[in-house]
Amino acid sequence: MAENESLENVVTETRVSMWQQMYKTEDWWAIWLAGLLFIIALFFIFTWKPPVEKLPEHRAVMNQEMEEAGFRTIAYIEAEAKLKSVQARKEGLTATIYNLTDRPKGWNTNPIRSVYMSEEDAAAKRAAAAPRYEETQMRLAEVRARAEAAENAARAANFENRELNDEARAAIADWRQARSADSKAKSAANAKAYNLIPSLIVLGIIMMVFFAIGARFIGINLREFFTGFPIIFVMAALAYLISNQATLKAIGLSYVLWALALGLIISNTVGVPKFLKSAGQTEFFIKTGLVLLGARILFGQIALIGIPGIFVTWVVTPIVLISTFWFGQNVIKVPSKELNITVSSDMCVSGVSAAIASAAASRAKKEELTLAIGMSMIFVAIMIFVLPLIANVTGMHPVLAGAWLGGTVDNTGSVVAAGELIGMEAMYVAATIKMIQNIMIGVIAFGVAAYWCLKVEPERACAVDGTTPMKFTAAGALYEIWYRFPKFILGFIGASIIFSIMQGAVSPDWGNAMVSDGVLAWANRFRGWFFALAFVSIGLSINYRELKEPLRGGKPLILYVCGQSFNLLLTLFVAWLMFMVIFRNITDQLMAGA
Amino acid sequence: MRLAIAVFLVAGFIYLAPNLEYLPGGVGHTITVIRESGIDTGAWYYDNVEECFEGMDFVREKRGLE
Repeated sequence: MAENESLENVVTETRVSMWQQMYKTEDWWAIWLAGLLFIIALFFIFTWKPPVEKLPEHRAVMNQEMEEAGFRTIAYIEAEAKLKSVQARKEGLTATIYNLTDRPKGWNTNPIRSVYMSEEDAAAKRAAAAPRYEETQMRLAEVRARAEAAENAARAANFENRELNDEARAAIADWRQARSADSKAKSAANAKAYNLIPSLIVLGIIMMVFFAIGARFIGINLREFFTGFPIIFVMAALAYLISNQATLKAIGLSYVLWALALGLIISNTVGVPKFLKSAGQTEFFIKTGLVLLGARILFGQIALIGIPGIFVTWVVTPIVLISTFWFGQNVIKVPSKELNITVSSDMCVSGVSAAIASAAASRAKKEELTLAIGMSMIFVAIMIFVLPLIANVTGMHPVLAGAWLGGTVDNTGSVVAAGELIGMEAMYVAATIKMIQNIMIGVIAFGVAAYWCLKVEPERACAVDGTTPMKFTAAGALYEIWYRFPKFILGFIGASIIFSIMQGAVSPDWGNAMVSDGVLAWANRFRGWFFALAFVSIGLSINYRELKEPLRGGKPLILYVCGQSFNLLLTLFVAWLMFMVIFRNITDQLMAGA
Repeated sequence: MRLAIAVFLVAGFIYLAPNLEYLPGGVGHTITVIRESGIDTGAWYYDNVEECFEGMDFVREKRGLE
């Protein structure tokens, strides 16, 4: 009985035959449903195609300007803006569905603004923003004239006069800044009334029907699912709404935390009725979201900063992960290996996303995942302030500081925020390093799943009826890996490989317009909602007393602090060695013109 | 009753959140800087963090990869 209860609380798969698994388990249904979403998205983007035939035209202008001038001219920047505006997600029904997945908007003091703005309020906002917009327009015209004059002067000298080129560059940089300010002012000056409530209702219904398809085969009581799902969806929307309060957003308290908190509040106060438990299909939501996540992991980005970037991310990160896991097992003796690997991955790869992938791959308990995420968010909030302070006080080189932040701060948004506090170069390097490190999530999830199959729980490797433990043989091992391997990880890796190949096979511009700003834009929005649903479900299934158990002795905390300290030191050392000593030329390239 | 207390605490925290920007020791100022920059600090990488794309463009441009 106790064993059954503990199994209920584990991210797990049911032991059934392979064919049955294919239509009866969440793992496979996560793949089928994510695949269905990709197919629908592909159908939509090819039916309502953006003007991709104009892409070569814009690119030709950019190439020609770059060839002539050697820097970004006004014509280059305008062509680039046109090129980037070609996005499949803005066309026809693709745009309708994309807009339907809109999350509640940002707000300062009035939460209603997050989902509703009346025509009167919009008019008041437009009126308030109008003077500023006029001002930015005037400034833009003035700066543009200066930039044109400077560029014309440089062009008249065939871009061979270095001084004139530098003047033109500086004037164009001013114009770009003015453009950006004008664009923000324009958006406020054109504020429109909105009401997200109807679209949220339609989105909730679409997602409910979407998951009900799989739920029917998995054996979930559909009546209870349909009764409970709307409540979970409303809580997920509420989590988004709270997280979009401007100050909370700035300190990184994301919807994940609020979704967990809202679920925990309900489960620990009024309790969770049976229909809500039936609707809170954590594993189903998480695994479907993870397969969609795979598509965003594009291997083509690995080489962006060359060897130093690869060292800081793909060498340091696995070393820290394995060392932290070893330390947890052998030195502080964390009682649960699943908790250990979830905290270790969360801490050294990319926070919440890696924690989810590792927890699902190792079948960690929900409270273990919750604990790992909670600790990560607290430490990230501290690191956002402390690391830039250290970098600024010590006068750290911006590229080194960026590489350090990108390799150590958990969440991508937090990396950007911390980088912003140092400077533009640091922020861009940090963001790029983080993007390269994020690609590791798939590899880590695969490795954890394989390790768990073969080493941690060898008793899983038994006969299909689950009765006779069998010894590993070379012949049996592969079958067992295949049999026991969490299949959604295959979907996750498969999506990553397919979309990496797709991006690589077409021109980068076409890939951006149709894949990144088409299929993946759709997938990203849905994935966010699926994870929000999953975290509400996790909160609903946890009693706060259960959180005390993994926290006993403060071991997860010690693990996190020790692992993160090691991560900070090793990343700093390797980043220094790579960017400041061995590959100084790359650092100089990145700082050129700064 | 417990639900009411929990809701009150969460609502109170959210209501008072803007006051975090008045925290001393530079913390409040830092929060203001991040808020005004419009960065979504809690975003994951798949949330299409605009600065990440700008960062990759920046690196490509500087390294002559485009």
